[in-house]
Parts: sequence; C-alpha cells; structure tokens
Amino acid sequence: MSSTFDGLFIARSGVRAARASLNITGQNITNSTTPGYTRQRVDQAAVTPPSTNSFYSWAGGAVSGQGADAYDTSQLRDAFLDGEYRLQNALGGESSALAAALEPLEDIFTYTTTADSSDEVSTVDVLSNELSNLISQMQNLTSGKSDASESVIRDAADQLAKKFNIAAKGLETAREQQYDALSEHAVPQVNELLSGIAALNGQIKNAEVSGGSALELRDQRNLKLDELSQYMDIRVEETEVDVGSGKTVHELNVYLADKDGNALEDGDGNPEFTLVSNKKYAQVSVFQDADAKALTHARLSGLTEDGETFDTAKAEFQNADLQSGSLAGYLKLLNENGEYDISDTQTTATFRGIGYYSKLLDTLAQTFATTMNGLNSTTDAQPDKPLFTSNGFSADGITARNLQISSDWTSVYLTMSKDSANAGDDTSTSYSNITNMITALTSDEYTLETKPGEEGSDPFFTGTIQKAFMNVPTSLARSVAGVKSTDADNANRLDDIDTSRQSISSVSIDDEAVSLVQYNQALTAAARFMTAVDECLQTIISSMGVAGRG
Amino acid sequence: MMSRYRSDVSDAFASMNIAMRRAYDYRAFEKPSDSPLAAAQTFQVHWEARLNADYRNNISNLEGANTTADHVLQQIATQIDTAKEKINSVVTDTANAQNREDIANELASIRQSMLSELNSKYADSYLFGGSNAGTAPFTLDADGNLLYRGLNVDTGLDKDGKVPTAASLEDLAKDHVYVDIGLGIESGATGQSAFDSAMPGIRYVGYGTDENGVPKNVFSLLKDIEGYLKDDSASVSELVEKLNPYRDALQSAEDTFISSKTDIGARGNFLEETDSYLEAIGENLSEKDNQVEYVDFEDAITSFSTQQYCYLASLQVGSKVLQTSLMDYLR
Repeated sequence: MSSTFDGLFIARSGVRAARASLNITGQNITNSTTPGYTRQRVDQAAVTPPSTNSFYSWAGGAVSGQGADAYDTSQLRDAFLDGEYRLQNALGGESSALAAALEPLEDIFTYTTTADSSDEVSTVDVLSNELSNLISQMQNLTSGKSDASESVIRDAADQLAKKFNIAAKGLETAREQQYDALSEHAVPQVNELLSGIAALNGQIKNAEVSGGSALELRDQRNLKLDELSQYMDIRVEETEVDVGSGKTVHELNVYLADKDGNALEDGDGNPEFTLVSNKKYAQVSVFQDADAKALTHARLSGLTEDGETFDTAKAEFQNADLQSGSLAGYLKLLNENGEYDISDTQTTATFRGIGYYSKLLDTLAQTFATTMNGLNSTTDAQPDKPLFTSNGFSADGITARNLQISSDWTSVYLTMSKDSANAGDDTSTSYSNITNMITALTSDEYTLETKPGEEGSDPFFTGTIQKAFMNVPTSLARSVAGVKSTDADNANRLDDIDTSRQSISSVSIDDEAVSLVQYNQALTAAARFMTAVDECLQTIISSMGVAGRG
Repeated sequence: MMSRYRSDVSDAFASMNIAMRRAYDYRAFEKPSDSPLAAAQTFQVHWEARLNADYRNNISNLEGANTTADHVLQQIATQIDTAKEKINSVVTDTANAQNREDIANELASIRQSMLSELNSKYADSYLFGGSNAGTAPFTLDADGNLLYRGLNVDTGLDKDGKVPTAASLEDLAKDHVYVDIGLGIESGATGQSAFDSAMPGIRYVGYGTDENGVPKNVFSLLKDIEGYLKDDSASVSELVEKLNPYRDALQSAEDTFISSKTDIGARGNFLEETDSYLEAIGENLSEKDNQVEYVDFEDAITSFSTQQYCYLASLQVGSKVLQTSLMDYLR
C-alpha cells in the first residue's frame, strides 16, 4: 500500500525529469555550432518501489515504482573513432609540415619569366640557364664573334658562381625558418597543450568528485587532445579511480604512441613515455648540436605538476620515438639527408630533407669546378690555374656557398688550347681547349657520388653536367609532388573519419526538434497527472467521510 | 554535413580558380611539382633550344668569315693570273730590258697587295692565320722572304735558322679550329663531329721547295722571277731557260691555289645547309615546348567551363540542403 501523497511525488519526478531533458535539448541546440561540442542526453531510469527486498517490504497488491529519476547526463561520443581520428591526424600533420616546407624550396631553383621573344610566361631552371649563358659565350669565342672575349666568359662564370651561392643561401635560410617554426611555434604549442590537458584533467576530476559529469570540460579536453595528435602520435587511456564512499572518478593518461596507436613500451611492457598523467605533464624541448653537423634533437622532460618534478627527464628519448606527426616531419626535414646518409650502419636512403638538397648542390658545385679547373690546367698533377675556387685562390673545400671565380682570373688566364702547336698559349685562337670545355659540359658523362673517394660513397647519378644541373629542380619537384599527393590523401581520409565522428556526436537540429516536442509533451502529461492527483486528493480530503453530515 | 559541404564547395572553388588561371596563361603547370614530368621535359627542351640557338649563332659568325675569305682569295687568284700573263708576255715577246724592268715592278706591286690581302682581317681576327689569328700570319724577314707564323715558307726554318720545335709548316698547313655547330661534338673533336673553320694561308699559297730548289710558294716564286727579270746581264734565251721551271712551278702553284680554295665554297654550302637543318630543329623544339609547357587553348577553355559549372551547381545544391529543418515546420 503506497502513501497518500505518493502520486504527487511521482508527478513531481516526472516534471523534473522532463524539465532536465528539455534543458539538455536546449543546451544541444544552442551549442550546435560550438566547435568540439558533443551532443548530450539525459540518462533517465524508473525508480523502483521502496524496500522490495527487505523485511518490511509491502506484501502483495499492485505496487508501483516511484517515478522517474534523471540521474546523469552523458555524451554521445565514440572513443574508437576518436582514436582513429588522432592517428590519421598525426599522419596528416607530418605530411602537411613536409609539404609546407618543401614547396617553397622550388622557388630557389626555378622561376617563371616572360621570354624576350614572346609574351608567354615560361618556367626557367636558374642554374641551367646560367650554365647555358656560359656555354653561349664560349661558343661565341670559338666561332669568332666580333665582341666575344675572355672577359665576357669570365663574367658569365662569375654569374654562375653567384647563382650557386644564392641557391645555397636560400636553402640555409629555409633550414633556419624550419628550425624556428619547430622551436618557436610547434614545440611551445605542444607544451601549452600538454599543460592545458593536465589542468583540465584536474578540473574534471574535481567536478566528478562533487558529483557532476563535467561534459563541457571533457569537450574542451578532447579538442586539445585532437590538436595535440597533429604534432605526435598519442594514446589516450582513461581509468576509473575509487575515491571512497562508493564513488569513482576518471583519470586520464596520455602516452607517446607508435604509428598504429599503441603506446611505446619499455622492456617490462609498461608505457615508456608518459606525456600526461592526470594533473602531471611532461614538456618537449628541442636543441641543435653545437658541432658542424647541426642535428636537431627533441627531448622529453619528466612529469611535473605546478613546478614540482615527479619524474626524471627521459634521457633515453630519441628523435626516432616520434614516428609521425608534425614534430617528426620537422625533424626529418632538418636531420635527414636522403642518399647522403647511406653508410655502413644505414644501408638505405633516408628522407630527402633540406640537407639533401644542400649537399646535392655542393656535390654539383664541386664536380663542375673540378672539371673546369682540370681543363684549364696546364699541368697534369695539381691543377695550376683553377678557374673556380673556394676562397679566390684555392680549389680545396669548394661548396655551393663559397664557390667563386679565382681572383687571378683577370684577362689572359683561360687556357685557350693545349694542342702541341699552341700548348698552354693563352692567346692562341685555335680555342681547342674552349671547345673541350664546351664538350665536357654538354656531352661528357660524369658520376656524382655522395662521398667521393671515401668508404660507403653512394654513386647516385650518372649523366652529363647539364643533366646533373637539371636533376636538382626535377628531383625536388618529384619529392614535392609525392608529399603533396600523400598530404591530399591524408586530408581526405581525415575528413572521412571526421564526418563519421560528426554523424554520431554533432547536433542534428531535426533530432533536437523532435526531442523538444517529445519532452514538452512529457512535461505536459506529467503536469496533467499532477492535476489529476491533486483532484483525487481534494476529493479524498474534502469530500470523503462527510456523508450524513449537514 | 555543414562542414563537409563547406569543404566541398571550397574544393570546387579552388579547382575553378586553377582552371581560370590556365585559361588565360595556358601554362600546364605553375610550379614544377604540379607536374614533375612536364617540368623535366620543359627544362630539357629549353636547354636544347639554347644550344640550337648557339649553333646557329656560330654558323652566322662563321659564314661571315667564310664569305669574306672567298672574296679575298678570288682577288688573289685574279692577281696570280695577271702575274702569269705578264711573265708569259716577257717570254713570248721579244721584250727589251725596259719592258722587263716594268714587269718586274708590276710583279713587286702584285706581291705587295697579295701580302696585305693574305693578312686580311674579319671581326678582329686574321682570316688566314689558322689557329693563331691574333697576329698577322704573313710577315717579311730582313731579306724580304715570306714568313708564315715566323717560319720561312721555303725552308721551313724559324728566324734563327733552326728547325721549329713546335709545329712545322706541314703541321700548320693542316691546322684546325674546331667549332661546335651541333654535329655531335665529343672529346677529341674531329672533323666528323665539329666544323673546322681554320683557313691557314699557306695551304692556299703553297710552301716548301721541289727537288730542284724551286719554291712552291706563289709569293716566293714571284719574288724569284722578279729577281731574274731585274738581272740585266741575262740574255733573252738565258732568261727564258731560267724562267721555264718557275713558270711551270707558278702554274702548278696556281692550280694548287684554285683547287684548295674551292673548299671554302664547299664550306659555305655546308654551313648554309646545316643552318636550314638547325632552323627546322629549332621550330620542332618550339613546337615541343608548346606541347609540354602549355595547354591547348580549347582544352583550357573547356576545362574552365566545366569547373565553373560544377562550382555553380554545388552552390545551388547548398541552398536546397542547408536551409530547411524541422524547426521551420514546428509552430
């Protein structure tokens, strides 16, 4: 037998539950355009009749439950899709960092121009164009053009050397820009995200301890985790923790993961690199080697909280532990040199980062200078009249950055012929040696190696000097095209995953409109029920037991 | 759905922009990475077109020198002919000493103009200097003997009377100056793969002496004949006897001169033919550049129209998809 006023309590719970659902529906509708918002719903359950399982339970009769209880709100979110999104985001972050860095390098080696003879805009390969100019001037001299002279050839050679210098400087500048992007923007952003996630963890835990479910805070945290996943592969694990009196709250750990989303493990099978452990977080730092190699290294600190350190820095953390994400992309650009990394320990070429193109230019400059100096020399042993030098005097240690013509090259310095009638005569007009130089640049074949004369040198190109010059922008173009295509694929895939995610967790106005109608009716019905109960009670209290009285 | 639609519309807009740009500059690629294969072909075509232009430039320089040399040698041929007639007139006519003196003087002036013609220049280079065209190839020593590049044309000895250590007259006559005109020049260029532009003077006017000590060089022959004509002591029959071997030598020197100078005409023809061939190649390269670096006018316009249509269609769809929701139908 239920109590007299039970019905009122049931009606009240119904109104309360309907009001809560209406509020949540309103929350969903107003936040439908909020980025990262996950739609919420009320968890509602029927209340069981009191003490059904005890000594004093009601016996027999039609017993009813005690109304509806809106006991919790929850989000509609798929954790699996979140994981997939973050993995794909890391891949996309890496490819977009590579594409954004490599594409501007093309402007160092090629430019578009209007030709003298037409209005059509054409793409010009800078170094090949200067080489063509040099060869044209040499041709003019051999065919007896009236204003051809050695000084014109010298000017053309000077221009070519300067173009090498400019290209090498451009690559150095690009490298500095990428390092700045990494150290001044990417790494501080990552560190801010890590500390932000830790702070949110603390707030969420506090909210849960007080009984709330902190759904909005969770949305903010998910946004930060999504953004962090662009920089590195992460694995997110949420665990339940008992805080006493039967209450459990959640704690979040973020670990560094591999490309498949599995946390990197140490020898004992435990996650090796913890990025966030509830309120404690690690920080990433980068620095460059002081020695000539200038490799960039990333480091992971130990866990800290409010400035207090709980864990020592991860000394065993290496660049290779960042398997994808834009941090990994930056490190590849700065540290990896393609075929130039081949050695006894590294048998395959690594990624062709900025260093590859710098070294390729150096190899090209050295091969070109050595060829021309050898042809101009009148002795077989040490070239005695170098045309191209590293410092104006000596041909040792030539790089693309320091290539310059010899300061001894005034006039009457080019060896015009080496045939027996005119051997070494700088004024001979047989120009046979000039013709030899032309032949060497246009038809003879050379092999470019990564470390000429050393162990483990990789001969990566064989062809004419002209083809070697052309190889630089075309190999860059192929790399960039490949990276852009991968980036486009990654972006599409990310879009697909996000669309799936959105279909579950974003707000559908149609859906919420139906809910509005539904909960509104539920509230109206509960209110009507309360009115009915009220009338019943009125009848019982006022009208019962007055029969026979006045 | 909104964000998906948004990204799809911006993709359509970006594609339309690319097609629009292509429709007015007709370029197949903006950066080499847009199409690495087309870029590589473009650079190769540009390189070959530059080389082709160089070859044609060389040919035009060489043709100028060749034509001038042809004229000069033609004049010298005429002068040799004149000299021959004058010498014949001495021999056949019963000439007196006065006539001999006149003819000797005329031969001297012919020799002088021949010398200055042999030292003709074209564009700051001596035409007949062979591989050393910076200094005048023909000079006279103290005795009036002709020297070619410092060597006596009759004896082949240098100014100190010694056998030359570098090149001999024979070597100098076979002098080469190889110029690349696109015949496939290689290391160790030969006449097969390059054009020999050398015109060493002594190839035409002769050098050395025959077994009787009679010079083969036209200039020396005229000088010796002049010497005999000026010798009053000889009688006519003695003179004729002395002159006969020289007249024969002069005839064979003239024959040598004419036959060796025809190679200049042949060279001129060869240069002209090669130039026409290179012109055709140049046009082919220009055509090829159009194919790889640029897109067809029709293709570009059609593609732009298609992209524009796609973009407008996606805008129209959007207006139908995005507006209505259940909210519009509830009171």
